[in-house]
Amino acid sequence: MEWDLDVRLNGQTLWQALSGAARCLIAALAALFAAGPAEASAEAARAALNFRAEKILDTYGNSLLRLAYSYLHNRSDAEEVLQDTLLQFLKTAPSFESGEHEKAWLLRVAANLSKNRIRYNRVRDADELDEELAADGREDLSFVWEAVRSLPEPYRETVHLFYEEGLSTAQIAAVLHANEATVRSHLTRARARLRDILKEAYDFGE
Amino acid sequence: MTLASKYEQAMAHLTVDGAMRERVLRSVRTADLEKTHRVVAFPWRRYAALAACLAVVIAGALLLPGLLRGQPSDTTSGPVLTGPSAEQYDSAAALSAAIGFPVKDVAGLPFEPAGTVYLASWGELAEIDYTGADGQTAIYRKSAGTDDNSGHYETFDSVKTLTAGKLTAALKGSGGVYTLAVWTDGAYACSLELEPGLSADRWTALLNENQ
Repeated sequence: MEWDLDVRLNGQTLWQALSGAARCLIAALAALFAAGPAEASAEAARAALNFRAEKILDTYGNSLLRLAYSYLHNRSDAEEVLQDTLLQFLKTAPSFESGEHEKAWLLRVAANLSKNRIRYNRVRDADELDEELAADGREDLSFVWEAVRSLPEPYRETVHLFYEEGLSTAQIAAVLHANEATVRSHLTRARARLRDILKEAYDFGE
Repeated sequence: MTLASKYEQAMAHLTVDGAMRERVLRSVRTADLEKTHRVVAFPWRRYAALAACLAVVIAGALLLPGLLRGQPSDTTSGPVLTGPSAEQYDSAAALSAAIGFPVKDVAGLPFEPAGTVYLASWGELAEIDYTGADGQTAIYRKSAGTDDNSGHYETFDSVKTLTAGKLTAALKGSGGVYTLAVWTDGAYACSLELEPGLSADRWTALLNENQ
C-alpha cells in the first residue's frame, strides 16, 4: 500500500495536524498522571492553548506575516509582530461569529502592532524582499513591490488588503476600523499613484 | 497582466517556513499567559481538556481513511472556524453560575435590546452581546483580574478618564464620541463596547446605573 505523505489539510500536512493533536494528548495525559490536580489542570489547559497557537499559525501565519511586512519591510520585525499577534489572541480569547471575523480580528491586531512598531522604530532602509526578487531576476515583481512600498501608509495598507487578501472595501473598513468611503477614496488615490508609477502597464482590477 | 497577480507573486516570497514556525511556537509556548488565563482547579477541567484532545485525535482518525484514498483537498479554501471555546447560556444568572462569578445584565442601554446572547469563553471570560432593532450593538465583558479584556488594541483618537461614583473608567473613541469603556474594581476587569458610541456625559449616566 502506497501512502501519500503530502496529503494536506487546510494548508498543513496531515502529519503536522495529527502530530499536533498527539502532542496535545500526550501533554494532557502527562499532566493527568504525573502531577497533582491543580498542576495537571494548569498543564492541560496550557497544552490546549499551545495546540491552538499551532492551528492559528498554520491557518493565518502567512497572511499575518505578509501584512506586517507590508508595513515594516523587514522579515525579523514582521516575525515579531506575528508572534505578538498570536500572544494577544491567546491572552484575550475573543469570541467570533465566524472564521471571517476571526481573521479580521487577527489582521487588525497585526496592523496595529505594526503601526505601533513604526512609531517607535524607524523602518529600515534595506528591504529584504526587494533584494530577493532582484536576486531571482524578477524585476517585474520588484517593480510592483517598490511602487506599492512607496505609497503613503493608509494607501499601502488598503492596497495590500485589497490585492493580497482579496478583501472588499467594506471588509477592509472593518479590519482597519475605518469608514468605508475613506477606504474607497484611499484605494482610488492609490491606484492613480500606482498608474503614474507603473505607466499604465497593468490592469488594476477596478 | 493584473497588478493583483504580480503583487501576489511578490508576496508569495514571504512565507512562514519551518524554522520561523518553530521559533514563533517556542516563544508562545514559554510566554507567560497567566495574567489573563487563570486556571481554577476544578477536578472536571482536566477531564474536559483531555476529552477535547481525544476528540481532536478521533476526528483525525475518522478523516484519515478518506484523505489517504487521495480524495481532493482544497488547500485554497477560506479560514477554518477556530473560534475559542464558548458556551452559550439563557440568562445572566445561568452565565454567573457557569463562570463562577456574578455577571449582571447592563442596565440603561441607549437602545432597547432585540436580542441578547450570554457567553462564557474558555470558562473565564463572561460576555453579554446585545443587539438593537436598528443594528445597534453592545458587548459587555467581565473576567477575573485587572487586564483589559475588550480585545481592542488599536489607537483611539479620543481617550478620557471618567469617574462615575466609585468607578473609574477609561473611555475610548473618536471625535469626542466614545465607543468603548474599560474599568476594573481590582478583582474583576470589565469592558463595554457600544455602537453607536456616546458622549462622555451619557457614558457617566450609563456607568452610574451599573455600579
